[in-house]
Amino acid sequence: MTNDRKTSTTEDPRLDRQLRELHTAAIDAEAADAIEARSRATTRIRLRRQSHELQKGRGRNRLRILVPAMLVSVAVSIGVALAPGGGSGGEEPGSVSISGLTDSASAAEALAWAGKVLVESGDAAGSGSAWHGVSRAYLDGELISVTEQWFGPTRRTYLAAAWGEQDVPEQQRELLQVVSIDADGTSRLRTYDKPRDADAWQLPDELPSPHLVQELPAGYGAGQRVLASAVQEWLKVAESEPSRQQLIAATDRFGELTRNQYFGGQAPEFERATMARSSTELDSPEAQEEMHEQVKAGADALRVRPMLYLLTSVQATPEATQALYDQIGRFDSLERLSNVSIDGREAIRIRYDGVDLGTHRERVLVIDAESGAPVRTESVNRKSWTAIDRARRVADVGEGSALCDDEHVPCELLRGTGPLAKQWMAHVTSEIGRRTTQFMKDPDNAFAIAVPLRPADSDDSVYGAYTGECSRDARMLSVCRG
Amino acid sequence: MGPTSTPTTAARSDVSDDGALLARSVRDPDAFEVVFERHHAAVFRYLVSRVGAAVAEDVLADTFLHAFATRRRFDPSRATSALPWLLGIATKRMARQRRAQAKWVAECVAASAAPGHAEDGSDRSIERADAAELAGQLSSALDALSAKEREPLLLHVLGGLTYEEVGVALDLPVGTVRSRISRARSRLAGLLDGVAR
Repeated sequence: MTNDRKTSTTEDPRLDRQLRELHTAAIDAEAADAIEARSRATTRIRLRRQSHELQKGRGRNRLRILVPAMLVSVAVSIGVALAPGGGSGGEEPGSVSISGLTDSASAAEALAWAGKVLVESGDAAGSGSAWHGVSRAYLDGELISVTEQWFGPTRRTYLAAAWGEQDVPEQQRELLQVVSIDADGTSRLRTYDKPRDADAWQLPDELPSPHLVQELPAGYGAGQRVLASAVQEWLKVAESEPSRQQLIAATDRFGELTRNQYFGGQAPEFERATMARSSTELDSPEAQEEMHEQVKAGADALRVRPMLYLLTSVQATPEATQALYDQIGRFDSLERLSNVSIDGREAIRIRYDGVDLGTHRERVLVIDAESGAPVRTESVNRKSWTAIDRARRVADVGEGSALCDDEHVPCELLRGTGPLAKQWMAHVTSEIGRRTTQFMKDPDNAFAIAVPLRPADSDDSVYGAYTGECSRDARMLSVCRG
Repeated sequence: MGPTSTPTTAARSDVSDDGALLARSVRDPDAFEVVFERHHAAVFRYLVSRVGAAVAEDVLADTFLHAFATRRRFDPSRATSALPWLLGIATKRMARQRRAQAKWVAECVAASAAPGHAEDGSDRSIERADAAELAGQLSSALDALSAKEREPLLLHVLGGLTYEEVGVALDLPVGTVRSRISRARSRLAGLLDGVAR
């Protein structure tokens, strides 16, 4: 290659210098070097992990549907997904990845619709079944949104979560997969597809039942069953205003379930040693790499999960349950945040593949500084590493007040309001003519829906915030500009 | 942090086998790590100059993970070095970071006026004010460019890529790159006209 800069008549060295100076004026060389070192270490780890997975063949059958390649044959994709050990269950036990192509808002609708179908077809209603749907949207190989819902035996939606960008073109919404778990442990994978030009998810007219139902091989979806059991246990406890003793009993039950399911009845106790070391010790790239190596080894990663379930059952609050679901996903790295203290406790930064809460927000696991015991997860502002005060934010959801931070409308969970939430979304959508995107949940069972008021490709993030109690009509309280 | 104007020198040593490495990495994924080690710093420096270090960390990881996932797509016939390809991916990953980009430039503009920014460290307020004004004008002028003009220019100036390499990064013919950069320079010069440069 020739160097055009030597020959071009359009060069302007002074302008070039000014551009370079402009873009480097605020660089803190020392800080940047530190970040570069950290970035090198963590990215290397992530690459090694991907490489490792590839070489193990675990990623070979993964149902990562690339847009629009998946359109070639949905059936082929499903076939891959159902292959033993592959597809949606191939990533790691307990993390069944049900892939779909849909944006978060429509995924929530699709999942609600799928639940309706299940109930009406008699597959899930009143049979002690639970079902779980995950829709993941990939754009050019990149995971851009995740939506996840659990429906209990009574079809109550008790959790929904959505992450990621919303600007998925319509034609990329194509596939939804749902796993249902019957009381007898039978797992079924249901696949729904939405025609490219269809307005809504629908069943073919001639089929009274979901488009494709496949009973999963024995042992398949063990993690799903664990989760279903855990959530059902939680419901039993949480909905009855449990006593401390009940919570302890539920904790034991969860521990037994998870350990048995994950480790075949020979579960090791959760190893906390990797988290209980000093911040200084854990700050080094070597320590982080070592910790991550332990986590990615698989067994260690799974040790983390029961811990989180235990945490959830102990607290038995919506926030704790949110924490549980925030942890469903593949750990990408764990990192002790030496400069973060939340309520006097240290925090561990958990990063995942595909669960990106946004540039400036991350979910961290808060642990007890002395014992290393997990406490809860919390959202932090990544730029300042300060906790985003959920209570304050909820308090802000008052009439006429703004509801946003300067970077991001918080994405929180919507709980217990499945059908109603859908109505709200429709209401808000019709009111402003744009699709609702992110949900927020407050402890008082009120919730808000954040709505981007401008196209997703706009430079300005402008959000409208809607809130109100579940039993009331939505009303627009404020519009705030990000 | 080294200067962003020459990010590629070290990384480009022995670059002739980037294509071979990437081809090998399809069968032997570990081979990709060599490419990563070779170009990590250059990509990071470019990203820092565009979005600041904090955001650069995330974008960099995204860039290399995406590059790993799409390593089959690397076309060794277009470039011997993988750096242009990587910077092209980074550019696309940054496309969603418009606010971060704007914020970073604003920080840089503010820093231009800060005491101690002058090269000799002296507190020459008039020079700082001039520098800050110029930085502000330049920032506004850059902002007025379309992405089609801005990205090739910045890849060339900040990323240190040749025109051909910018073409590889953005999948554009070199003639198009040349004309876009030329047009960008002309527009910047026009927009800056009247400001003490």
